[in-house]
Parts: sequence; C-alpha cells; structure tokens
Amino acid sequence: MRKYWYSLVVGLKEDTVYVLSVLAWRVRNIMQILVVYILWSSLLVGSSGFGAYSRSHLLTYILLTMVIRTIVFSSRTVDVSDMISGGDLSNFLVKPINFFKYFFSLDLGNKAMNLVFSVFEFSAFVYIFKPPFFLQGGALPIIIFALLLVLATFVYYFINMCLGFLAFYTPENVWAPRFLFFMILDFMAGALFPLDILPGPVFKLLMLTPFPYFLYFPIAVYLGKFTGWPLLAYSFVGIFWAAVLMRLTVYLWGRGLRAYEAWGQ
Amino acid sequence: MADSSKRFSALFLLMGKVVRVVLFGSFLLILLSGKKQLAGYSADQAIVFYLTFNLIDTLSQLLLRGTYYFRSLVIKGDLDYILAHPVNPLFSVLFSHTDILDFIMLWPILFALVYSFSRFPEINFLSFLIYFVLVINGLLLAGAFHIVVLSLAIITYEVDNALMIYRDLSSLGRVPVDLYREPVRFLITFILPVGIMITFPVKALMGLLSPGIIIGSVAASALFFTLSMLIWNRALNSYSSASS
Repeated sequence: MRKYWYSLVVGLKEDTVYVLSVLAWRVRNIMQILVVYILWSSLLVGSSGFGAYSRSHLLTYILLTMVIRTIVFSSRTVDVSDMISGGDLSNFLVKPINFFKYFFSLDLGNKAMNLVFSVFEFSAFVYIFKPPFFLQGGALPIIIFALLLVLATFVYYFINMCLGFLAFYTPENVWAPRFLFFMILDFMAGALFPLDILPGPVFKLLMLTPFPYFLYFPIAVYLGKFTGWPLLAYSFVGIFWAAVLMRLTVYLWGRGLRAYEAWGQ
Repeated sequence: MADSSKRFSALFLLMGKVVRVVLFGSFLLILLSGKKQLAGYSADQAIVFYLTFNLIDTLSQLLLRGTYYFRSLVIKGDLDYILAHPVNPLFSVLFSHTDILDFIMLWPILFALVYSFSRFPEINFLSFLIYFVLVINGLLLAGAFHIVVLSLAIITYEVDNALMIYRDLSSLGRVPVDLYREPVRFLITFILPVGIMITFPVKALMGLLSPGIIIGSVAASALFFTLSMLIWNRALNSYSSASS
C-alpha cells in the first residue's frame, strides 16, 4: 500500500506545483458555480420556488453541486489517453505497480485537495451571500448521500478510464469523445438544474443512464426527494452502472494492451 | 485509417458543439415554460438573446482560435519565429488557427437567428443595421479579451484557465443581463462588459437602447480594445525569449 500512498503524495505535489494555475483553476471553479447560482437566485426573485422545489431547496441543490462536482469530477484519469498515445505506458508496464490502483490513488489525492479548497470556498460563499440553506435533520439520508458520493466517484472513474482507453485504437484523436462527454455531463448530471423538473418521461429515461448518479441523485436524496422503494430502485441502477462500467474497464484494458503498439517510444 | 479516425474525431467535436448549444437552449425553454418571461422578455426575445450569444461566441471561436495554441509558442520559444516574420505578430497569433467546425456551426445559428427575426415585425432596416454594428462591436470586445489573455501568457505562461474564465464570464450573456440583480448587473455590463458584448445588440434590435447608450457602448469597446493593445505591447516588451 505504501507505494500507492507515495503516488498520492507525488500526485498532490504535481497538482500544486504551478501556484498561479491552481489559483486560476479555483477561480474558474467558483465562476462556474457563481454563474448558475446567480442565474437561479435572479430567477427566483419574487417567487417562492420553481416546480416542486422551494427556494431554499433549489438554492441548496445548486450550492451542493459546488462541493460535490469538485469531489466527483476531479480526476487524473484524463492523463490516461496521453500516457497511451505518447507511449509512456510502456515505462509504466514494466514497473511493479497496478495501473488502476495507481490512478485511483492519484484521483484520491486530487479529490482530497479539491475537497479542502471547495469546503473553504463554500464556507466563504455562505458567509458572504447568506443563502437559504436546507439542513437535513435525518441521519439516514446523510449516510446514504455519503455512500452515493462514493458510488458516483467510482462510476466517474470507470467512465473516464473507458474514454482514456480509446487511445489504444485512435491515439491521434483522444480529445474528441471526451469533449462530447464533457458537453453532455453538466446538463445530464444535473449541474444546471435538478433533473426532476424535466418532463416525466425524459426524467425517467435519464435516470436509466449513469449521469444522474454523479450529482442529481445524491443531492436529491440529501434533500429528501427519494425515500423507500424509489430510493432503493434507483440506488440499484447506480450500483448496476458501477458494476457494468468496472467490467467494461477491465475488458477494454485487456483488449487495449493487445492492440498497444507503444507509439511515440 | 488516419483519415477515418480524423473524420470520426471531427464528428464527435461537432456533436459536442451542437449538444452544447441545444442543451442550454432546452434549459432556457424549461425555465420559460415555468415563468413564461425572463427578466420581462418573452420566450421569443430570450431565444434571440441566446442565439446572439452563440453567434458572437462561435465567431470569436472561429476567428480567434490561435489564442488556445499560444502558450506552447511561448514555452517552446517558437514565438521568436513569429516575431521575426514581416507580419504583425498579434495578427499571426490570433488568426493562426481557424476551426472549420465553428464555421459549420455558424450556419444553423444564423438560420435560427433569421427565423427568430421573422417573428418580430417591428424590426426594420435601421434597427438591424445597429444590431449588426453592435455585434461587430461585441466581437471587438471579445478580441480585446483574447489579447489580454495572450499578454497574460507572455507574462505568466497561464492561458487555459484564463481563457476558460473569460468563457465562463461571457456565458453570463446567454440570458439578458437585465435578469441579474445589482451589483452583478452593473459589473457584467460595464466592468466586464458582457452586457455590451451580447445583450446590447439585441436590445438595440428591439428598440430598447437610446442613441446615447449605443454610442457609449461603441466608445467603451474602443477604449477596452486600446487598453488591451497597450497591455499586449507591455507584455511583448517584457518577453525575454528565455525558452528558445
């Protein structure tokens, strides 16, 4: 385990080596949330809520996306495709280290750093803007919310790995599928709005994809929107996606290694 | 194989761009289905605001794409070659890359805009002319922002996040700036002139801007552009060519 711990620490040091870049990146993260928050808070002026959401529930939803997206969506797996297309994977394959555990430890370090930043930013935001924040009183929704965040982290990790492994087959064009994924991600994960304000059939269809399990579903559980059977059924869909994507990741890795020609080396 | 791979890649990138426009447009329609109006504007008007944002955003992406490649020029020292050429370096850098996919994206946006205009019988030649001038004015402002980002790249080697911050800020213009409350509205209209860049052309088209404000917004853009040129010249003077 010690080598993965050192990987995590080295990854953290790499992430923070360019101070200005880190600062600009954090400003960007804050901007992304501010844009959505300002839009919603302006829209809600003079109204008690939107759809089935009260003002405090909706603004809590938007604020929680601020913290959760930096935990779930922060990942070093975007480097996988460059590693493969640049041929650096060859150096890695001869080392006594597990590829998946290595990247997962990098991800953990990255997420820990993001968590620290986002908690600080979140606190500053609450202090300055004093938004109406819904505090969940029940212990069970909070525990399930935390477990769903772990699930979201795994689903995101496996999807990114699968996208990275496309570099085994199209090493020159690794960015395009990821670009499409990122374009879809914010909307379908619920970063702009709670997904249940969509028309019923669209919402139900969307819940069958992995996207809502990144942001919408955990936050909706925190807000108490899912209880009983619906909570159980949709949690099962999330677990199903994690299992399917894990199998797919392992399969693509095995197939990819057979196709790997160590280009660039 | 390489050709088909590139076509595959272009298709994904184009799909991404289309999805970005369509999904946020759908989000706006969802909002309007609940409120019917957005900052006092009807759904048709809000759509013109959104399409104008996309027009200016796509045009600036199409024309000023070189900004995205500038950091590597500075880091590798290749900027030296550009400086030695008998062409204005700023022109070379800004217009060095043109994304054909943005050119493709431009047409559906233009068609949608023309269709949206047809739903406003009050639009006349003069209001359209002012709209056109203010769109060019918006592009000038976008150019000024990009020049400041290039200057930052020389001084600090930071481009990617600065560009993305610009894009996030300009995305506030996807809806009319009248929607935002003070002091945000003042900030994004006059200090970070997203309002001048995107909202003003549409307001002029609908006859909601006084001649004084129209002239003032052109003057503000000229001032911004001049300021960005000053920053660029200062940055170039500080360029040490250390990497070459």
